[in-house]
Amino acid sequence: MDNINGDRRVAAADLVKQARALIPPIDLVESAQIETATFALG
Amino acid sequence: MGYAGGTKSSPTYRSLGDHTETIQIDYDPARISYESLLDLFWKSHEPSSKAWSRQYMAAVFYHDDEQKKLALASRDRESSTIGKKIHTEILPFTGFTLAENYHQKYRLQREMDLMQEFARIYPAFEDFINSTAAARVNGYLGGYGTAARLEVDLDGLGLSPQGGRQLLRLVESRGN
Repeated sequence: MDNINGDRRVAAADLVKQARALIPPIDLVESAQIETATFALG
Repeated sequence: MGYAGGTKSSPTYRSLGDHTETIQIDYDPARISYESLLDLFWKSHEPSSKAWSRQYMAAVFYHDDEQKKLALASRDRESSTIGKKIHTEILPFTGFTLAENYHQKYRLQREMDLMQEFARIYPAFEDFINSTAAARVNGYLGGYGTAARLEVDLDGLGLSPQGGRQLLRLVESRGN
């Protein structure tokens, strides 16, 4: 029983890890205040 | 990456007209100020050099009066600092046309394994172009940022453990 629960915990941790990997959390979100800057560097 | 500053409609790389190659940055002013972006801009080009052509001129395209004021003030400071005439233009923003896909995140697009991972995260190429994570990875591959900083950033980039290790190897191999 302990092993089954342990396996489930490992599987759940893997799923969380995979889910986190699907959406990069550093991307700007729509709710954030966004401004735009435009440059030409030559 | 795209084209701005000209009058020709729908410019392309092969038919640029009077436009200039340009980068456009969407940013959160709570995280980084326009003044900080201007500081980086002045450090990232040679403002006392005359432009070879309209395509490759250096310019700030300001989006409002506040940006105009800050850009002009930063130009004056830069001129005092380097003691030379500044050829970088300060111009009103009149529009921006995205460059062709092969110009976007140019260094990252050379890394096929990493691109496969980003293609899974962003099935639409437009979302890839707009991605902060893709912009950061492209920057690291282009020699900006250290391996030590990348290790801090890595969990936020959306890459698999293998992809993360590959990126770290690439950055370390470039001696950053």
